[in-house]
Amino acid sequence: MAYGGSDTALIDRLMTRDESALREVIDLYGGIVNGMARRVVGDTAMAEEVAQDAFVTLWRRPGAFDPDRGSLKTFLTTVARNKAVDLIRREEANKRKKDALIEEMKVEPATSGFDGDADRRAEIHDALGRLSGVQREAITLAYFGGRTYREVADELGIAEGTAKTRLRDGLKKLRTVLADARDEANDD
Amino acid sequence: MTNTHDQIHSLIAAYAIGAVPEEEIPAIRAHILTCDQCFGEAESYASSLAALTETVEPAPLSKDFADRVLKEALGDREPSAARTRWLPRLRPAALRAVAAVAIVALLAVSASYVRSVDRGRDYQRVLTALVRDPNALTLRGPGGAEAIIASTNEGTVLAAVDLGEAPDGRVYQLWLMDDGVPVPDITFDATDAVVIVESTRSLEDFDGAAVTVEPEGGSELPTTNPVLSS
Repeated sequence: MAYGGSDTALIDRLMTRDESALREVIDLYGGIVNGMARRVVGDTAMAEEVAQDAFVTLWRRPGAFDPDRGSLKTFLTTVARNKAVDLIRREEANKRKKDALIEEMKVEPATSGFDGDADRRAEIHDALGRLSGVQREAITLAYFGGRTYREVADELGIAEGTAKTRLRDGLKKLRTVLADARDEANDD
Repeated sequence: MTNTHDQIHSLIAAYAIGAVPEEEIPAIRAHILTCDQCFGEAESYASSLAALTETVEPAPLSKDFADRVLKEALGDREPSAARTRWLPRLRPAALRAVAAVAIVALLAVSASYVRSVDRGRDYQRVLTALVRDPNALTLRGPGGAEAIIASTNEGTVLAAVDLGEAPDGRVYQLWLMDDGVPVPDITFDATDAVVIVESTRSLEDFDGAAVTVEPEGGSELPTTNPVLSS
């Protein structure tokens, strides 16, 4: 599925080195990219550096975005997540504590937001609530905490095989719950 | 089912979520290229991973954030309109610089190699194998050919589809773009629907890539317009 034509139009302009296009992308997605970076690294200043790096990467390589594989927003937040994880993996002390990461996942999303995506966040929050606690914990540590499956196992005091299983079962459950929610919405 | 398949299959979810140690990634990528089951499973997690990105709430940025991004993006380069994208617009000084490093560059890729993938094998599988690199570039050509280029632990991998065989006496050549200047890389031919080309050079050092048709042995500077470009 190809995503929004406006994403493609922005990328086309970035390809021609149109600086105003980069400003528009930052206006649209700067907050969410920074939000992702902050979730992973915790520190405000470091998060902005990661976000800055994500946008500079897009400027240097707009061709890295493929509209057939998702939206520009998902692409940029994924880039920010991966850059943030690279950063904290280089310095063990930068890794956020397990308890803080897990508590943050439990926080109810704001019912209204200035980005207009509050309803979607609430839907996903509910979907994550349908996972078992241990599945949610493993996914949170891996995705937002930057832990490898080996580190997840070590930190949770479980076997590596169990860590892999929790990640797999959690991702599968999340996929199923989201698909069911979408089917229900389509039936209404 | 081999032990290798079972071992790697158990890692696909961890791979998809980015929780596999770097040293274990090459074996997984290589396996996904040949295994429908693992490919399908890796693909199946896309919606879950996208959902995780959507749990994040926006965080306000400093007022001068956009200015700082632009400053870093542009560095001390000329304004955007003057940036070059391909040969006809290259600066003469830049071309001379390319020529000076060309021999070194050709030597540097001596460990590169080309591997053909069976006709009919799904190009999407290649994309999935490379999807862990957020900086992967998509290259497209006027004839519908397509490729993706991404980083590996050893350098760079290009996976091209539907490129077609190079004309008689000619080969394809990969170019990595350094600030709009093409740096020569490996030559190859495309005898199958999908061809995988690996270079020892790091993609991180470049801002784009292209493929041209060149005389056998390759060229120090492109002699034709690209059949694929980012």
